[in-house]
Amino acid sequence: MKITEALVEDTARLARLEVPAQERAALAAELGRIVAYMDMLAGLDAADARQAGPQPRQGDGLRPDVPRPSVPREALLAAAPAVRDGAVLVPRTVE
Amino acid sequence: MTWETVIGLETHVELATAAKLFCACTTAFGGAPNTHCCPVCMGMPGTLPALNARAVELAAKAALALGCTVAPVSRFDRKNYFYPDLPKAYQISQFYAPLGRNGAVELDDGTVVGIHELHLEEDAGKLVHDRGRGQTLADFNRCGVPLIEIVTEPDLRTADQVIAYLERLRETLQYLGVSDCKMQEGSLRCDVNLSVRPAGSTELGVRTEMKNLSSFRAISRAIAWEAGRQAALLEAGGQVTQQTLRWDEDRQLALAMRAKEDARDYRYFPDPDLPPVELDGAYLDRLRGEQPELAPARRARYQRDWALSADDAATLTGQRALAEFFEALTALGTPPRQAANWVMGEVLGALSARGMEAARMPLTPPTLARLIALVGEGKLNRNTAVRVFEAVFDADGDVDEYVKAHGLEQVSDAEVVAQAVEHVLAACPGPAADYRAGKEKAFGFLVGQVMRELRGQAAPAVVHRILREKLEHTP
Amino acid sequence: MDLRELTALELGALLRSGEVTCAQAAAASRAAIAAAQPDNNAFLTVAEGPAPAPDLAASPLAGVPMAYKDNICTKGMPTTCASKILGNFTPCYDAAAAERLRRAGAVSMGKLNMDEFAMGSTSETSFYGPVKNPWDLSRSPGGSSGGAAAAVAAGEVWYAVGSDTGGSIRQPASHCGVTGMKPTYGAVSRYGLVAYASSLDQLGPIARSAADCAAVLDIMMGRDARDPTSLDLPAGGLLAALTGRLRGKKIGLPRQCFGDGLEDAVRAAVLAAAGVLKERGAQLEWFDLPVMSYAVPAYYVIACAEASSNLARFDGVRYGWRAEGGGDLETLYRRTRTEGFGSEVRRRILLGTFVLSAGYYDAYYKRALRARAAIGQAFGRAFQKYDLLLTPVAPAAAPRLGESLSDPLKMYLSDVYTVPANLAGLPALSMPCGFDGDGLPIGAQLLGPAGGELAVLDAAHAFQQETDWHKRRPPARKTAERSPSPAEPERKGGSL
Repeated sequence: MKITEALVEDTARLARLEVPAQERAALAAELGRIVAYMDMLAGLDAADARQAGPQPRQGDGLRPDVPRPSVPREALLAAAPAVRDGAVLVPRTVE
Repeated sequence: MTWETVIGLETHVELATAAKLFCACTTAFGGAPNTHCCPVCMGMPGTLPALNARAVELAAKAALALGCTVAPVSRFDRKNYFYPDLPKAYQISQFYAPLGRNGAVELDDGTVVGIHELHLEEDAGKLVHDRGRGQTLADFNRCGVPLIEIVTEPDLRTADQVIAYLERLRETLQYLGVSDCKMQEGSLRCDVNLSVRPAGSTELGVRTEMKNLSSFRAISRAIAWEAGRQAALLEAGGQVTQQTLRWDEDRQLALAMRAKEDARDYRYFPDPDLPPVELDGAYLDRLRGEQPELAPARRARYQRDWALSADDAATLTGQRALAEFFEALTALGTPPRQAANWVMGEVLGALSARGMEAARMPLTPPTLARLIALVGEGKLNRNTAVRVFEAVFDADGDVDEYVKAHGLEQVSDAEVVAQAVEHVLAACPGPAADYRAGKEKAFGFLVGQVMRELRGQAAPAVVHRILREKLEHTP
Repeated sequence: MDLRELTALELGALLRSGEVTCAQAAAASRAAIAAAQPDNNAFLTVAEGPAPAPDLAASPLAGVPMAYKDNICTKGMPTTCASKILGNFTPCYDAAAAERLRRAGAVSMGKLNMDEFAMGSTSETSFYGPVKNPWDLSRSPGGSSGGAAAAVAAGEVWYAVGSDTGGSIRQPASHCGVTGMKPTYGAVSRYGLVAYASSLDQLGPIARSAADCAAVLDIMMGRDARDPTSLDLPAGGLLAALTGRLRGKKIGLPRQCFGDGLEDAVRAAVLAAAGVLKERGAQLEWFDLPVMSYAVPAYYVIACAEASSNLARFDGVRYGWRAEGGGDLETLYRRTRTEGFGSEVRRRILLGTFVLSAGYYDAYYKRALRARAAIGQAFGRAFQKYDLLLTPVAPAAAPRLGESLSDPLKMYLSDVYTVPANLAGLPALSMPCGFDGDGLPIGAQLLGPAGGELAVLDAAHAFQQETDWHKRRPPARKTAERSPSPAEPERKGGSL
């Protein structure tokens, strides 16, 4: 699997990370080496992937539907970068 | 060319749980911004989801009632995308192993609507836009409210079928207690996938997805608008672009939405924080056992067993609590026709005057059954009974006590009635003479006068009999 | 008496008997931290003011000063994950493990440095500067729980709680000459542990002996409704059940863990440890575990995939650092995340995003899950035959600072002995078993079957009754000038 600069750019867009154009080639080469190593996994022929996860739990053994008081808003928003009227402020999302 | 519209629906329904899907915050509608939140639903570092048992149960009940096969093991997956209403930057949903698959709903016109799948997922938060300041305010109260998404096959052809399907879905889910299905509070939301094709063709055309449809009326209009747009486009030699549209109810048109992320970019993968959920045979059998008789079956039974009209049966089964109230009356011995009249008349009237759902009605069946029985026994006349009904409705008061305390018992004592009749005849010699001269209309006037004399409490049959006797036997 | 020479249990006993007061213990810890911090940078936050007096009857470790790796949420105390992006984050909640420890009378001295978001094997990816190995300040203490291992080795606290996703407790414990254990996946609630790779992360102790680790696990283990992956294993009783008996136990040595790439000094030390276990009555046997070769690629695919999703929430919206300069929403996301994360974290997010992308999911992520299942099955077969497995922890002793950062793949490969336990969810412990030619500590790893904490701890306890590697201290520096105390005579026998 070859990691191209275009793939790096596309992946970075999905991950909301910037990769400056001048670093793209080096990063593509480095990720390429790592991915080439991961390609080794193709050599293994076995096992159902679903056996890798945790054991299922019975439907009636889950958390009971009992509401509890919520956490005070001041505590939840104490670390928020920008707040107005109890809401978290973000740059506008509609044109 | 004649075009056929092909429609599939994705309906999101809020489950009627008290707590959220993955934390213990309330699901109550509204609230000041960010007051129904905790570190879990705010997606704070280190927090983990803990699945609500009741949400799974309600989703499974819905899946069973819609004829789905319920997966013995269902799993949760993460749908990854960035948006300020999504605190974890992924939505916990079910992609690879949904709870229900391959269901079907049959509409009254015989159309069978296939259910492709039914899965559990969490709701996102709410964004409020302040255009003046160019800012968006995020409120996470809705985050983590449990939803089921019900995806149909592209089996619908008209807006009427779509509405019929949605009404059936709403009725079923309300009967099951799965959801209150209030569109105005967003607890039932429907996205329409629509394409058109030349009539007779079996291939599907390119479809669009329409969102922001907040009422049945909006859905009907949006379908007509979009089907027309696509047909016109194709007629003109153009092509339909696969895209998501947002219906603008004010302007009565749909506009393309800016894509948050392409579907292929969601990077679904199994959520490692949530073990798969196993729903074994015993669990599903219990849910099947708890399933109430649904509205279509009840409607058929009312018509068959009690000779009620289709319209009456439909009115009585409109709400499960109303149907159960009606059936409880009949079980207490109230003749079905009378029970139906009272429920469709006085009961529905009282509920609507109060803006109340049948499920919250304070009046109980034994109270109304007793009231109807008093009328039947001739102890109350119907007009008085309606007054008593209004008086006892809000506190489920004791009918007999009320009647006694207010002296409302019907006067059937012949002597008392006879005295009143004599009074009236003495006071109104004119109408009496008219009657004797053959003017039947005067009789009604005299009855009214006697009833007034007895403050409306006289048994009409007794008044009629004695009045006629007196008129005919006295000069 | 130099309190720093004691194990946590020994100090706990003195506190209960009244020979030492909690204030004295805390003061000794505070002094040690003040002395060591300029050298090793183990702490990110030091608790201020006197801790509330603990209930000394609450547990054998009540009153004993300890500290948390900085990816474990502590109510009212910063929890940064050694990242710029969480530089100003103070949780309004405690991790489940921290809650349990506080109820057991633990006295927290603060928060420990680490690789940023636990991504790294050297504790050099911290935004707040690298941790240095108390045995040689030009070397890494290992990672990612490097601050935890260094602080315990330097006598700053008597034990620490770390997290282990691919070896992050065991490998630094090995490099710093202390004992560290990752219990069975699900044994300790992950609630409040800032997730790196959810299906692999486990909390565990770093301490001076296996017995200390047993005492910490007795407090931390147990089902927690807030973590649905937590298990209902029998909680408590590990410490009381330690016997040191090894007779008849069968210990398997996977040949693949002693082959190419392993330094001779490490091989020799681990095999010598095997010899000690044999003398105590264990039966040793070599066996093949060929599936081991898939462990590192499977680990990095799964860990990065989960990390790419787990770290998406750090977007500058609800908490944490937000890039200045405004702009639209997409710009805010990209700049916050690009400037807020270090290069190793960004690299792993990109790798994880890639292996989950449409078109690559089957080739990488799904294959990695299959390899993981195959590894789990292979360990299952091994534990039908053996009670325990013995392997090295790392191919070599602590690397020089700066050596590993230039070649990430080489750093990933050094996790080869530790990641299998995470992939299979098994309990695994690292115990000191010798030194290399440079005087750097070497560790041996014991693995047990799922839920086999006691067998692992008991074997390590037997080993530590027989040896004193775990009692060796790094050469004292500045502190030695103030309190010259020659190394205590070697003591044989249990620390209980």
